[in-house]
Amino acid sequence: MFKFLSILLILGSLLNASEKEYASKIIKNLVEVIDKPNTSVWIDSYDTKVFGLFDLAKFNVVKSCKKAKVMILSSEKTIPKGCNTKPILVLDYELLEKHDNAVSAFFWKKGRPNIVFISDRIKHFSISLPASYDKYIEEKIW
Amino acid sequence: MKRSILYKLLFLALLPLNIWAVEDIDSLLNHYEEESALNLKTKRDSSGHNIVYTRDELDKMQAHTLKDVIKSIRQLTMMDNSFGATELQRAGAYCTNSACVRLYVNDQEMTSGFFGGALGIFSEYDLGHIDHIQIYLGGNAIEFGNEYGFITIKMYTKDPDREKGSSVGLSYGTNDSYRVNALTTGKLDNDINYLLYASKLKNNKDTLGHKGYDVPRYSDNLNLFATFKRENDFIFELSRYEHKHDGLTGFGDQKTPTRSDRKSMYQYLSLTKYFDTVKLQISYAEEEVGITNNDYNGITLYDGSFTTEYDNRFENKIFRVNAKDSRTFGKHRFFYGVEYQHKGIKPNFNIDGVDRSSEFEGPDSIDLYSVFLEYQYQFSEDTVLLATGKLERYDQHYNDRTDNLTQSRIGIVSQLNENLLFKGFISQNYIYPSLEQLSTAPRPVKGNVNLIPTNIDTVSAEFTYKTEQYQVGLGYLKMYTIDPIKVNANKMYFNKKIEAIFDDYFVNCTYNFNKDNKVIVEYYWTNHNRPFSQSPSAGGHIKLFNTYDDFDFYTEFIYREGFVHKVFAMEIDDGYDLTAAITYHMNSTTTVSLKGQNLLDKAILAPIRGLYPIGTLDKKVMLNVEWFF
Repeated sequence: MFKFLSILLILGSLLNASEKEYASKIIKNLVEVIDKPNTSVWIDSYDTKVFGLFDLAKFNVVKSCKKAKVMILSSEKTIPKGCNTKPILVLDYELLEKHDNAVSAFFWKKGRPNIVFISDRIKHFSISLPASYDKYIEEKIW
Repeated sequence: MKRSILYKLLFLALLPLNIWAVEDIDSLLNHYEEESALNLKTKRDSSGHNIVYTRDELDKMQAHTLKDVIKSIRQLTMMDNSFGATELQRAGAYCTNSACVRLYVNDQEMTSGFFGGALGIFSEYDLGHIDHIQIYLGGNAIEFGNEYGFITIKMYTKDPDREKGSSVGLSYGTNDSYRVNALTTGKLDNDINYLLYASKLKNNKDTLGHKGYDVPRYSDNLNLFATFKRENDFIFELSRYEHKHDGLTGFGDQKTPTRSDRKSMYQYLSLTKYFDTVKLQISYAEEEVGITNNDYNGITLYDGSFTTEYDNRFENKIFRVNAKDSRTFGKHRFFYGVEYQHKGIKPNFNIDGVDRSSEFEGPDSIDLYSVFLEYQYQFSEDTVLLATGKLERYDQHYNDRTDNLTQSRIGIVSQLNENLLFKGFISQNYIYPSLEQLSTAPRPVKGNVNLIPTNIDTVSAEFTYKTEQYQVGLGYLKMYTIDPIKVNANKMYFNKKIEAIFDDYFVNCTYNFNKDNKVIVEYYWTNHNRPFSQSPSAGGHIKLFNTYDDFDFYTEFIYREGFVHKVFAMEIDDGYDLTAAITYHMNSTTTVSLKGQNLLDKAILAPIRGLYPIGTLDKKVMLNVEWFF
């Protein structure tokens, strides 16, 4: 058992967590607290920028947004019909204003990565955030 | 049985390394920020011995101008010269017009086309739009630019895609000094991101006195910068920089100026275009330098003529085009490129109201053609060997003089074990005479068209031991400077037939208490074969970066060893510069900060011929407010 675990750990240690891996982990964490682990997500995958930012293989991506529990938006796209009631994670702060269902944002501002959850929107979706996320909750959009 | 124990020990040993696998969101965000830092993308270990100032460090330091950064660089001391311009003096030596300093904003070299140096214009370059700074010591990689620099300072601007917004800052402090700056970013159609920046900085220092005359000290800077870029396609930059400062004592025989000031303007356009692996850059720069010096007791020019009103203006034009490419074939990497550069000047001399521009003699332009190749061989997984060569041709357009020169460099970068990095380089470079040194005009110092390049040969080695918590560095550099350009007793530039040898040593340590709190300690010293020192031969610093709740703290203590300048007959005491800064992040849109520099009023003084030792840094306190929206 220890042999197996040690080998796994050696392999894990050899992996140098890159920028892309950390971004994937952060987005995965955000998606999971919005819904649940390994939940289904729909991504506006026509935006090639998304592919460079994080690893889609880490997510349970569905092709139709109707089958998704959480949507990820990185650009100004119209939400497909039948999906505009689902919680959205946006990758650009300005998209929070454009989509009332955008509960959270993971974005760059002032040269630093940021996370934010909008208080009334997480209440609307009855999202219960772990205490470690409290400092990322804001009452309103700037 | 023994094997089972071994696996258990291995499991326990490796367990902490995998903590990241179950990191909380705060830790993930911190690690993401660290891994995404732009300085990691621009750092090149193979380019030399480098010092990095990260975005976070520059913010905590409240580094508003380049002076705030360069004042603590090892083996260098920041000192004003007798014309009020700031220079970086190499330990023990004196470097005219900071010709040993090469300065870049992104890929644009910011060097005076006439004087050859950078700091005469850009020492107070505003850093509000700068993300991070990479400094390479002991000879730059040949790929950086055409001309050699003992120190190469590369400033990289903020990425508009990561700023996402605008900011306005106001600062006010001692002697009515102030700074106003504004930055905005945005996105145009077709995925073009832009960043616009403007700043105005007025820095007033205490007025000095000499023989009953007031010698005011001040500087005034305007910085306008714009960049438009599309990822992996092109970058277009426009910039205008204006710098006006006092000319201190000026050229006067008695050092009694009734007016002494210098006014510079530098503006450029630069287009960088990417074609797959090929990078093409075309830039055009204009520079204007104006020197006005009135001295009641007179100024003696090189030809013995005497004036009380001296007015000297230059207009310089610098055109550059270069193309670089890199190819990798297995363990072999080739980096190569070509460059063409044209420097042309238009002088204008007004002496006692008489136009004497026609007396200008010597080259008024230089064309430079160069081709370089760097070869890197991946000797093993952890070791890279490199060799670089560069061929250059200088056409002076005067007396049909052409110089064909070569520069070369070999090196090794090796990760000796998980923690220990070794870098070693041997290089042969030169500094080509500037147009100011080659040309003669009605100035106090006569130029010399027969000047030859100064040879600079270096051997250097550096060990860096790094763990997650601390880093220890140890380095050595031996430098031979052959035929340096000096001014002789007849007020004429000449090649001094000497071989100046410098042995530089440094040791430093960085201890990270955690992500937000660290201390850096560094000490350096230099031995040389010159009869006496003209600048500090030893120095060091302690820097503390701290964060507590919404407050950032920065404390810096810089030491420079005193020396006796035998030519100026001046004894300079040890210098101690204490800087303290506190930043309060009131909320997501407002930051208030306070900074004091040279708080002990004991920073190292600069010897000035015919005057007395003067301070380069005043004791100063500035209050700053910055809004983000």
